Amino acid sequence: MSSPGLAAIMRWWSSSSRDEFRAIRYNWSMDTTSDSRPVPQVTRSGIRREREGALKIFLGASPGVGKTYKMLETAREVHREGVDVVIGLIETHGHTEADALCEGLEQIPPVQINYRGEHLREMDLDVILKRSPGVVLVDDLAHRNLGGTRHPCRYQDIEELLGHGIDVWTAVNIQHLESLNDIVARITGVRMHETVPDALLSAARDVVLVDLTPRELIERLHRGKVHVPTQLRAALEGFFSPSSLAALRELALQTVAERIDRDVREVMRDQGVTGPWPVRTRVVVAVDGIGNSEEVVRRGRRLAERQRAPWSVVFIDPGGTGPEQRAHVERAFALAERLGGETLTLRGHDPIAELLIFAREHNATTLVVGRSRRRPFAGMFGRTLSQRLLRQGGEFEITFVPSPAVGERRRHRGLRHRDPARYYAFALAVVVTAVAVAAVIQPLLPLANLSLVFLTGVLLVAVRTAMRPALFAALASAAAYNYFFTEPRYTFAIHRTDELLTVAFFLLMGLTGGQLAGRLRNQLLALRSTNKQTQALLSLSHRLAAAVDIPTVYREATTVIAEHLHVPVVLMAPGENGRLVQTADSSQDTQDPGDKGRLAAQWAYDHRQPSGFQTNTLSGIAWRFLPLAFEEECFGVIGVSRPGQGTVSSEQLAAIDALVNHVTLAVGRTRLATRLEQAKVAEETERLRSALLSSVSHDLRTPLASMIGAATSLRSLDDALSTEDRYELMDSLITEGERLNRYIQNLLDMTRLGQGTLKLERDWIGIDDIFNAASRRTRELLRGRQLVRSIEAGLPLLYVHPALIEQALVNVIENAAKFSPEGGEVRIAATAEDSELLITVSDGGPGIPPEQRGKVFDMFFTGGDGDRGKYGSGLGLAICSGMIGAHGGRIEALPGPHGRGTTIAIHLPLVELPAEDKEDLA
Amino acid sequence: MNNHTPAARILIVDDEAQIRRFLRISLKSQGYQVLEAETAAQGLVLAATQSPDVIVLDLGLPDADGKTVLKQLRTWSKVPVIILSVRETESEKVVVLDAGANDYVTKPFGIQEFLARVRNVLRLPGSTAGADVGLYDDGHLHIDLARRQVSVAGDTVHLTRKEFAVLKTLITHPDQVITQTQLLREIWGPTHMRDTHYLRNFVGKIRQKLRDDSDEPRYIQTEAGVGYRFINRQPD
Repeated sequence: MSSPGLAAIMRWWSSSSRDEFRAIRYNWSMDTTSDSRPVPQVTRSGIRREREGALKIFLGASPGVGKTYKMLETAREVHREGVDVVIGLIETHGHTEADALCEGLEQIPPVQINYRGEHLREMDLDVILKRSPGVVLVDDLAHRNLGGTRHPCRYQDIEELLGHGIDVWTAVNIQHLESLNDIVARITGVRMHETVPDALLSAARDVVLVDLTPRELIERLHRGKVHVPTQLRAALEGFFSPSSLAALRELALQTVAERIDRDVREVMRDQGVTGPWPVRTRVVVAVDGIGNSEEVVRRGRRLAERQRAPWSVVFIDPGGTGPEQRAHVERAFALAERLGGETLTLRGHDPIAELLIFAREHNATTLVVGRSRRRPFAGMFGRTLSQRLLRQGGEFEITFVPSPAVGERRRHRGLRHRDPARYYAFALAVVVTAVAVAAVIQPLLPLANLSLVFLTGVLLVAVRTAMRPALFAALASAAAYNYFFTEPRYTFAIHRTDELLTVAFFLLMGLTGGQLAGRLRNQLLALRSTNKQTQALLSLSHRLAAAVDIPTVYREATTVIAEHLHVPVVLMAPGENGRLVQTADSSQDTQDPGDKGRLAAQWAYDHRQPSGFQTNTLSGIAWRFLPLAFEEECFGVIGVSRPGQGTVSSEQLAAIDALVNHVTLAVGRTRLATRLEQAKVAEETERLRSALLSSVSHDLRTPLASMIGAATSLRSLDDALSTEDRYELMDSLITEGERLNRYIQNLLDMTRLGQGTLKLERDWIGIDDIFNAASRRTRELLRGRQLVRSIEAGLPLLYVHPALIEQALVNVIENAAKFSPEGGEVRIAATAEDSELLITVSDGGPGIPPEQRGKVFDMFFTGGDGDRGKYGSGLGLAICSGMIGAHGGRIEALPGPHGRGTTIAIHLPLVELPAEDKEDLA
Repeated sequence: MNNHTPAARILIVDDEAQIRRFLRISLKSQGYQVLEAETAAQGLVLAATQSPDVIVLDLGLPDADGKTVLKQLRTWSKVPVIILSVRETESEKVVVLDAGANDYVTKPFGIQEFLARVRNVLRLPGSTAGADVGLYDDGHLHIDLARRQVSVAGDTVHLTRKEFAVLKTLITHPDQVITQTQLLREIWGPTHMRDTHYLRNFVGKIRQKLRDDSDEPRYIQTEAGVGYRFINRQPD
């Protein structure tokens, strides 16, 4: 597979499963150049609520400018106006004036946490949520929560509050903004570790700048009115110098200015004022995990902000990256996501080519790259990456981010991937073998050709191990070749020019071949890895597609995911009361994620966001829970256990995401299929019901009509009727009454059959008895027709429910009578066939067309046009079918004797008489 | 018993043998000639060849829809038709009545009701036994159609033009059901065929004026969902 193709697949695979997720999380930044405004209902944490809470940020250049004071002042004002304001958490640090302001406002008591022996206080998120105030004041936006809380960062707590529709006011210093981290570090000499994503600032409804001139601030500091955080104490001089403060102040003012600018543009856009909107461009940031990747990301973001363009961070993986390098890339990716950018991993052996392809495809105009480290042999084997980029990427604006101090660079070099020692041992062994082999075949070959033996060895090492051991093997081989085989022997000197050239060219071939082979090997490894992941996805797809019901889907899902990741997997679906219940898991014994785990799972389900390790919620546990969310519904969560102690790479997380997506789709599909099935069943039931109703209406009323008609005739027309007439009418009454009875019986039987409450009370009875009873009941019906019986002699007794078989026979005879012409014959016969008794009823009527012969036994099948069908109410034969079937027999419609008319054939299984009874009868 | 000289011929079209049987016996005992057909096709053939005076048509025939039969019949015959129907759906009856049937009986029915319908239908102009309905007088209600005069117990009653038109339609088909649609179409035109509530109020007014609006109207009987019937109370 060619490399661009491979890269394309990787690109698709990495990005597609994440885009959706990102888009919800950081809606605003993805939409900066699109025409539509961000959707207001989707909050930062992805929960859809009617109204999101509004965030008001009090921004200051440094501690001590009076943010908390201003916040409290404003809170008191609105409180006087009747707004429901509570204090979530305020640190006054003993400031008496601020303390005084707190009076009169409701304070939510903080939760006490015992952290490493110290008693500390943290904001009580759950109590605030329950209290659900209009506005809550939460100081220190950048605070990192200590262990035991739901989220690691306070800003995430605030996000959750906003998501529940509660307005939040908070205070933060400019130095805590993520994107400004590097600049602040340079200004003040202190790098902040508590940072806040810029997205928060941009999405806040109000930003209030609390400003103080540096001189005034320093004065306050000297007067002891400023609380200096622990972190700054060591660098007090540096931080609180006039120049630093001035620079920070400028930063704060700039940030607010940019924000105002953006707001103005939005207003302009809303009002239809067209501005000079930039053409949709993109900024692409390339990180390699070796240099200053995080700074590159921050730079990229500032650039993107200025251009108001979307930005992506890509890492091009040539294969064979070590875990430390990968971890570095992960950190850079995490930073990028916090800052609101897209992240992608591309595969390819040529980073420059991949980067340029990507940039061109995505309409990038600007590339941001870290300065590459100086490589040895750079001049000989091609230009440095930077030079190549400049050459080939002429159409882009390229920014090189300067690398930090040399000391850092040296530290980074140590991150380089080390090949295991055994590779070099192998290389050495191969070289030694090559020497031996060469020595052996020396008499046979000229000297120059011996180099081929060594070359073989080098290629072998390259293919089996890695590139650097192969290069080592090449050098060693050259040395050995020189030492053992060139004149003068056993020295490193070469006297003959041709031998010198041979060695030189061998070295060349060895190094090149080694490098090529090594590269090939890396590609193969990358390919295998991709393949494995694709296979897992494919396998899951297949298995899920084949699953027909939800429990199977769950089972397959957990099995495949567990197989692929080699970790235990559980699946939890909502039970009756909406709380999650463990439904499936991958191993034989049930996995228990623990109480915290269940809490995390429930949270993930409720909020439709991942929770657990390497997320923003409850990240201390050993499980990661991903919601199975499909459009508006959430089906449950899948929990993945952490493999070992290390972090899981973002690639693997993306793989899990993709698998979980598949499962969600499969569950959605299965549900739809089930619902479709149910709808069909409901439709069929409805059809039967209406058929039943019309049948009942007609078929009950008709005999009644005859009865009432005959009875009223007898009564009113008595004197006009002859005796014959009278008897006819009375016969009519009786016959129709019986018919009514049969019909009602049919209805009842059908109901019982349908409900499954038909109980067979079997008894031994001869077929002739049944025939007799049926003939008696159908005598009137058969008037005018001949009933011909032919029952075989010596037929065994039937072990059946007599009344039911009789009813079945009556129904069949009724049917035959209906279709027999006047004067025609209805023949009933019984014979024994193997282990069955065969009963046939034939009529000489018009017959049933072949295509309808199976259907006549369906309920309400009447097979005719018009208001009512030819074949009666349609119940009779259906009931026969049911009753015969209940006895284990079968019934079918066949053409009549000599091809005329119809024969209904009933097969009933014969049961052996118990042995003792046989003897008695014998 | 017979109020017509030649024996009227009645064609019964019904697939149920038992129903044909008691109808035949009863009709014959009253002096009618009875023809029988089991299917619609047979019925149409007999209607064409035997010139019956009344056709009794069952709506539950296996081989054809009642409405279709009636439509076909009406293209070449004006013979009065009484339909037998098991259906409770009034709209079905209305459809067939509007398609040209003259009256209906709902199964199960008493023989007297049936015979009354037959007699009534035989009195129609166009049948061999005609009757003159220009004048109605039963001792209590007096209606002179030519002079448009109506009086109840001697007192003159003033009816509006439309009210009179409704009364006239009803009275010229005594004892016969007139469907709502028919009345509405005749009096108000085709666009008002659905305003049955309007008609109901209207008939109520007429009843009021005829002093016949007690719980059991004597003259104008409501056939729920179908139409109205004027009961002829003139002595024979």
